[in-house]
Amino acid sequence: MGIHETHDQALRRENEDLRHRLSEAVETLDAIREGEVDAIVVNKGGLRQVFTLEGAEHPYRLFVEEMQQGAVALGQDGTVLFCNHRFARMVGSEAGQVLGSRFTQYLSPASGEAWLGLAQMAAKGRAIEEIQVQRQDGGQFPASATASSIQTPQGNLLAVVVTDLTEQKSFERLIAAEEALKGEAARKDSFLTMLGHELRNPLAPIRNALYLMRKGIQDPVLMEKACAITEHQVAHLTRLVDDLLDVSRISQGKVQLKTKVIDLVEILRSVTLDYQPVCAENSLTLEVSLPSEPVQINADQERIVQVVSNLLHNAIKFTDPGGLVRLSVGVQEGEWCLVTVKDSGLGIPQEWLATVFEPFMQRRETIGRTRGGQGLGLAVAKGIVELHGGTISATSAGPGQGAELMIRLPLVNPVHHPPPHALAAETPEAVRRRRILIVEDVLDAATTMKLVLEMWGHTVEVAYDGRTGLEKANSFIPEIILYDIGLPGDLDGHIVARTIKATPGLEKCCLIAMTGFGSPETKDKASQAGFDLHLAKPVELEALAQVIARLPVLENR
Amino acid sequence: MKEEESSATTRRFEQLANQGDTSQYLLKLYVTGMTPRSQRAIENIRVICEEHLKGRYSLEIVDIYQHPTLAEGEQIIAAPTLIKQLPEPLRRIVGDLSDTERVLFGLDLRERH
Repeated sequence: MGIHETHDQALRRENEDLRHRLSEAVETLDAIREGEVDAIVVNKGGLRQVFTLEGAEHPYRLFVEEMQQGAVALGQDGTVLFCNHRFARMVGSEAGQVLGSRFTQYLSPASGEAWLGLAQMAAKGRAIEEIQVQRQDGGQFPASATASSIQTPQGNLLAVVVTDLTEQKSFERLIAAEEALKGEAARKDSFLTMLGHELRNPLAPIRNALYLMRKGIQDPVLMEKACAITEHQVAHLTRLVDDLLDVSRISQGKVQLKTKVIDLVEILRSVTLDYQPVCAENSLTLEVSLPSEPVQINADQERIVQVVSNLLHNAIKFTDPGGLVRLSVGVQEGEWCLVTVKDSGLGIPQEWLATVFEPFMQRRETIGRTRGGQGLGLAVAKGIVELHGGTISATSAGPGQGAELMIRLPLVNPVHHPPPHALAAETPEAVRRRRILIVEDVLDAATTMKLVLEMWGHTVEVAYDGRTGLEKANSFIPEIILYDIGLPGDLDGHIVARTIKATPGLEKCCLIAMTGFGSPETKDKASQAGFDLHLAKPVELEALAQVIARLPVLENR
Repeated sequence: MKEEESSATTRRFEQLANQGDTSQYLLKLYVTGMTPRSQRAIENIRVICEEHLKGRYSLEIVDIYQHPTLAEGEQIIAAPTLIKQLPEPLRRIVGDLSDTERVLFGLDLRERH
């Protein structure tokens, strides 16, 4: 009551106030009765509810039905109490079917845990989680689910909005694939550059050696040195090219193994014998630890030898004189055989260990002197070991502390096979003069081979293409034909072989195919075509000499 | 009416009139989302405020769907509801506010005739 107000005035003010409030109440009731309101608010048990009159919620309903996401409201027992028709379509069903069903039937089994977590988090506020939605037809798609809790007097509802992530995921995959491709392309570019250098490296010494040979033709010591250098470099080049082709074939899945049961101990024993001289030359100690019992595996002998030779070659290459190279073979748990090549050389830094078997990875030692190498050998080794169902791994204590390469191969169930007899090495004998025909289209290759064979005392003719080769065979009647099976032209190896064998006088002629790839598959093709033998190019002269020496003597003509 | 009463009434009227000239109005309009009625209420109160309370009002619009807790203390019964918080006393008007005279009366800007 104000100071200046009389009792009367106070009463009048109160009257005024009451009239206002009464008219407010009446008007509110009128408004409600006339439908001039959108919603009525009810407070029941401390919980406020907004009851929307028809029409007011129309825009919201429209949004919920039209939006791109699925929306559901779930009761506490997980039953769908509401769903928009987008959700029904997402799961390949009808709204009428979805309503009243259990929501968990639309989740993939794997999403169970994620869903539980989501429902729990939603009780505290809005929560979002990735799930896998399962359609009625069994198909699945990735989705993002946002859940929040709604409190009602009848209990809590879980409101869930489901967003289909299929497009987003495939987009992400594309981006990742693009990145991977870019990485691949970059690595290949860098590889090609390094390969170029590697291939060029041997050319300089070869060129110089040739110069020396020209100039120093009177000086046997100089000639010997020049020849040795050239041989060494050619060997290096050959190895590089072979590895390169191997890597390419393995990565394209074009390598087929010719497996049989072999005794690894016996095989590796002879491999280590081959490496003794090299180790001695480099002042390296070669330790060999082999079990006394045979260790049998189902493998392609040639390829296994290739892999172990590879590892030994690396060990020798990366170990300084005075160091140690150790090859050991063991058996693990009766199921696996382990071949370990250990060296005391340069070692491998930790950060390279993971990628050391990949091709195209640059590897340069930091000691200032590069020993080259593309890591191709290890890539080939890994490919072959894995084709055999095995594993290969590398460990190293660090730079300067050597490295250990370990191959694991599955053992064969021991069925006793007599160990294959190693072919006795032939001692060189006096060479019997033979008539040899060379069919080869590369001029230098044909000429050099002719010179070599003539130096050995044989009579040699050359043809540079298939047809001429057949003609010459007819007239020359050679005892041996060295035939380049990769000759361009339309003469099939089959036809050539058959024609020659059908020619009178040539039935017993030894047909030797010179294969450009040296892979088991090409060798197969050669023998299928009717050739007696094959030699891989570049033809190793020792191998050629042995083949010629072992030929049975033909009747005089 | 006695003389004192009529002068008291006149004085009261002048007081009110003066109040209408200087005091700051704090108004809150509670609506339900974007219904046509809500739109009308918003439009109407804006016009009224600009015409009669220019420069001395503060209008807050609250969507009770979006901000359910904000209406709790106000004892809102229906929406739309306009609340005059200041100056006192608290007044309440329900509906789309299209009856300008009623709104003005409710805001104590008019005497009912």
